[in-house]
Amino acid sequence: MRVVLAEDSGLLREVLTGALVERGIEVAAAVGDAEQLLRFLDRGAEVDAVIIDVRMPPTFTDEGVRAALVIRQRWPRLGVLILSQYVEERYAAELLASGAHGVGYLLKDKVGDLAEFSDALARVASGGTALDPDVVGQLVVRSRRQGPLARLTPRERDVLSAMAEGRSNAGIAAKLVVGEGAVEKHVTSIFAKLDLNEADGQHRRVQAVLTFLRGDSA
Amino acid sequence: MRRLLRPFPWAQLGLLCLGIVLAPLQAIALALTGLAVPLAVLSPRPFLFLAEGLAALCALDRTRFLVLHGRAVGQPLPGAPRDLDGRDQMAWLLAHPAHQRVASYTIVRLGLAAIQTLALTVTLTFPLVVLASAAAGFSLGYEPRGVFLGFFDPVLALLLVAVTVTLLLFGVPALVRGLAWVDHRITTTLLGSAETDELERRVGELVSARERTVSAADDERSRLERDLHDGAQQRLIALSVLLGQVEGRLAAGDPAPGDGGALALVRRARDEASGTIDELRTLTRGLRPPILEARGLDAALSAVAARLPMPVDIRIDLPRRPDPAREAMLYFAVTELLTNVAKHAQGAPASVEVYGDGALIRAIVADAGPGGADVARGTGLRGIATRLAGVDGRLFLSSPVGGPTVITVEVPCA
Repeated sequence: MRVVLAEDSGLLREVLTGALVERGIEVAAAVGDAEQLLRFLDRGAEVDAVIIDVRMPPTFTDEGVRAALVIRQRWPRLGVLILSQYVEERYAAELLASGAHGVGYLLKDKVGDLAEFSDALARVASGGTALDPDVVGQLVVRSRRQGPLARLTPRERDVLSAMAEGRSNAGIAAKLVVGEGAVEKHVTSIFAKLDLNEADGQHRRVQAVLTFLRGDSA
Repeated sequence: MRRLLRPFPWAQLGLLCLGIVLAPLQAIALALTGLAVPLAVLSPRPFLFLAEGLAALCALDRTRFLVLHGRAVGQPLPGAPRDLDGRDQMAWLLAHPAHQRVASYTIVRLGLAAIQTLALTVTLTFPLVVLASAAAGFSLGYEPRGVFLGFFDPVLALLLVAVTVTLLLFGVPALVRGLAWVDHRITTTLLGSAETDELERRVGELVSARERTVSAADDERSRLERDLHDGAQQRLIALSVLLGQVEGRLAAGDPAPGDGGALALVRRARDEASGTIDELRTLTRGLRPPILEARGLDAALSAVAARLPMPVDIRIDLPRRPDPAREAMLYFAVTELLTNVAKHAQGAPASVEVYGDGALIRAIVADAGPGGADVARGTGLRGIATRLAGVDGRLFLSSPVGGPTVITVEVPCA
């Protein structure tokens, strides 16, 4: 797996690069701002995913998110993993507006769990989703009151949250400490309640997650 | 009827007479003060002296009303700030609305005094002349006709005397009261609003000081957030990544021991941890440390000085501890100034002196460095000045090129 890292803190850039390399992830480039990142991608670099810090020069506000939106438009097959200091659900929502395919939004303080972090990176690179549980949690609170999500049982919502984090059924089962069979039952029920057809196949998971994340606008 | 039978208004009469005496004196003082303005080319002293005299006469004038109204009219005229030089004091006085009004007041008063004099003279002397003449007329008889009023027959003379006495009993007191009332009104209008002026000026000052304080606090918060985000937070994340790496290696039995091994990573992690601690300490410098609350300025500033690279001589002489807000302000100002010294004075020793009484605390930070500091250029100094304005404090800077630099911070504590 080849990735690009865009992070303005030189220290973190260096340490993170070291840690990723040690995990067998190739860091094609580590840049300090969004402009350098886009320039690098413009040169036709072959990478699987980009890791982007939200706050970068020159204004240190949402450069990373804006760069991510550009990347999703111009290189839709590229996985985008956003690192943020805070849970900023608005940023996550903007990012997910174009689909949950190959999108990740993680809190920076979770990066120390390198196994989890490289898993998330791998998921995003292969078109999956990786949302920080805290981000998901905030979106859940927003979406609890209205829309089709209101029809879900609390347990089903837990399952959907875990799905939004990007977990597989096995992963969800492990997180919620239930059997995989039970998870499958919940997932089927969720798809039914959200009117998602069987024909959509694996895509239904992404659809469910999107419905879930857009719950605030429903 | 009761209104008419009030006792004779002696107080008002006295007040009027005093005013009549003062008015020409004021006019003379004003004229001389005016003449002294061009003299300021040579020296502003005569102007300042005369302006003070004029202000004293005005003070006396205002105080006249104490007798009658129980309080003087208006407020004493504000004096020019003593720390300005003579010419600036003169400009200050000339620009001050209360002082400008003194000029118009003096002129109006002179006219008023003339009218008052005329009115009082006529109303007081005319009845006396009538009565004296009548008395003379009666005692001397009506012949020869040369005697004043003597051409009247006794009935007419008696009638005239009756009218005069009525006038004297009721008309004169009414006139005196009326004149005194007009006097009071004019003085109140022209001198009394010094109070309003002063309040307006204060409100204006406070509004802008509050705006500056609010935006300074805002800037401060943004700066703090940025510093924390760029510094400590990134370091801690890096630290957690390093520890994550160590964890991975230990879990795998540290396959790469030696230089790049877990031990090196742990050392690096420890460095990052102590770097973070240093950074947080630097950040909290601008905030309120617990030692300030517990032990006061002396202890807190000594702690700051101990961390600085140059020797700092600290002398604190305060009769009692200032209130927390002012104490924090002084702490912040002196700490910032000392940090500046550490940054710019090339290791030159510095001294801090804080002293004061109940009304004003002064902190003087001096260093023997190369000088050349400028409030306009140093954001640090401007930041201090802005924060000081929030408590009506001021900052004075003397920093000639070549040094020494002496910065005085004044914080009033009313």
